[in-house]
Amino acid sequence: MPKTAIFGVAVIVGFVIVAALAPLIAPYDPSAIDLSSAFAGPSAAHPLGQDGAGRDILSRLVFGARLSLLGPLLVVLLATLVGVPLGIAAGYAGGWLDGLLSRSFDVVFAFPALLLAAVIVATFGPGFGTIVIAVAVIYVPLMARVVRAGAIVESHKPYVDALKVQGFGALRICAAHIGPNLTTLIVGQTALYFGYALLDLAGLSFLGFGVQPPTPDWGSMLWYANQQVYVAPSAVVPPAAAIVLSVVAFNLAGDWLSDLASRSGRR
Amino acid sequence: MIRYLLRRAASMLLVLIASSVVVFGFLHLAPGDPAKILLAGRPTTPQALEAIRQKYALDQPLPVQYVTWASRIIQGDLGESIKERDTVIHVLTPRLGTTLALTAYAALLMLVVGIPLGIASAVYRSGPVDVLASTGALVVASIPAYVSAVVLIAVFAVALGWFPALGVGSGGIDMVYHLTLPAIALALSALAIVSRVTRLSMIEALQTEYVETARIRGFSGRRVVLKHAFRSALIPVVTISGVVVGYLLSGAILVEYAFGLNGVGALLVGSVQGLDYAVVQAIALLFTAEFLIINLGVDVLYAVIDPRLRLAGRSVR
Repeated sequence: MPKTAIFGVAVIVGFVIVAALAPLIAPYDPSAIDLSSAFAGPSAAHPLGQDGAGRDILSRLVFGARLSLLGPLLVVLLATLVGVPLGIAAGYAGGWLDGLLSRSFDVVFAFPALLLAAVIVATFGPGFGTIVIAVAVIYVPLMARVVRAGAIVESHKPYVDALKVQGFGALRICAAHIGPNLTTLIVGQTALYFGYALLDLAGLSFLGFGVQPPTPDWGSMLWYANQQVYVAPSAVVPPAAAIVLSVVAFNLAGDWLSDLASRSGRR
Repeated sequence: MIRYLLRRAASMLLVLIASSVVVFGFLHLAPGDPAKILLAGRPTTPQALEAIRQKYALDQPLPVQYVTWASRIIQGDLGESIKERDTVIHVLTPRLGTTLALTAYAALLMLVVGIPLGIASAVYRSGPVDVLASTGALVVASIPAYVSAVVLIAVFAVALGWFPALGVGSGGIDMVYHLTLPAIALALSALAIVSRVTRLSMIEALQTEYVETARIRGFSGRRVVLKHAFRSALIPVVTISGVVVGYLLSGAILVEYAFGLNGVGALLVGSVQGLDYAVVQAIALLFTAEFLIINLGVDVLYAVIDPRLRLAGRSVR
């Protein structure tokens, strides 16, 4: 395991622990307002300082990790649960089904991702659920396209012919054989998507399309810090660092997993 | 070659029609009466609702509604903005300039800085420039435009006071000055990606036999690098630049919002928050069309750069 991957996995594990144990780790209630100490700088009691409403920034960052990580997790789950079956179906069946699915994916790719998300938010109203759906709509066809390419390669291997000759149905061959053989490919993709989905969700949240105040997540914290930048410029650092650090971590872990996948594919 | 480009243009048009069906369809996926959604839930009279139903043929079957809607758009009628109480065209047009200027500025920075940086890294491989640029690019490529925007504002506009953090200034040089920080924020990760691809592509090209031959024949280093190696290294660079300019368009929305610029992106954000559906639809179609036109432009550039495509164009997707 390369050092970069160890770093990535360590950061991810750290963030997940922080998110899971947020009530134990956060020193204060993330929504507790204390106007008398608004914009207070870092101190022993408040290591990252307090924001414009006197809320403890460290506590908001710790609680913000929950939705900031839950969102990409849901996106990746949806992308896998919907995109993998679609991709295998398109790759294995070929013909009109492949044509229909591939052209539908092309339509989604024709949109700049953020614009499609904006239309979806305008339709269903802002909220955490809406932006998760909006981002998942982009990642389902991404996953499906990669899985389709893998499924085409698999379905031309001799073992698939052997299964067909033995009379196994298409569903059984796809679910019990092709799918499992694509696991490394899919796992590598999920780690990469997790990082990008985190960025997309934080961006939508930054625009005010996601969770509504006072619930914290990193994107909305960054927006808030940007609003108050003339008074407290250093307050942008914690949410910015949390977003960038987690994306770098997921990219490093994802690169490593994809490497493993391509190496096991060559064997 | 003409045939190749016509095919690309035709498939682009098909995709554009398909995406307009998607944009149209979302209005009907939303829970509730489309006429009320178009009015953004504002208090209204039965007469006003009836007028909207008439205008968009909302009592007709969906295909008829789509054709009514699409033919209005083709004629330049993008509907009315509920929030601004004006036509969408009037709301949109004055804001186009800011967005185009910002995106063009960022694209220029990306090419003018990114490509030479990539070439220098490849020519002086493993030298100090390469190590610094490659490590920097790796980190910067993971930083989204809205994070760079917020950090640049905090550092260069507020803490150091070198640049203004708000608005587009009063035209000309002042506008360039005002747009510099936003353009850097927008270009940074794109620039990192372009310089990485240029570097890899140049390293490969510099190892080919014809570059070796050109060197042996005694051509100057500059001529070998720029004329022989770069020309063949250009295709991946053009591909990635096309993709990345598409990102710049989306990124511009976030950057405009962070810097409080009065462009299309900021209008989109306000319209989504205010549920001003007609404006959101119009901007989504506009950006999608721009995105597709850029892709078509990249296809044209391919044909210009690579004579093989010009000759064998029909087999190229």
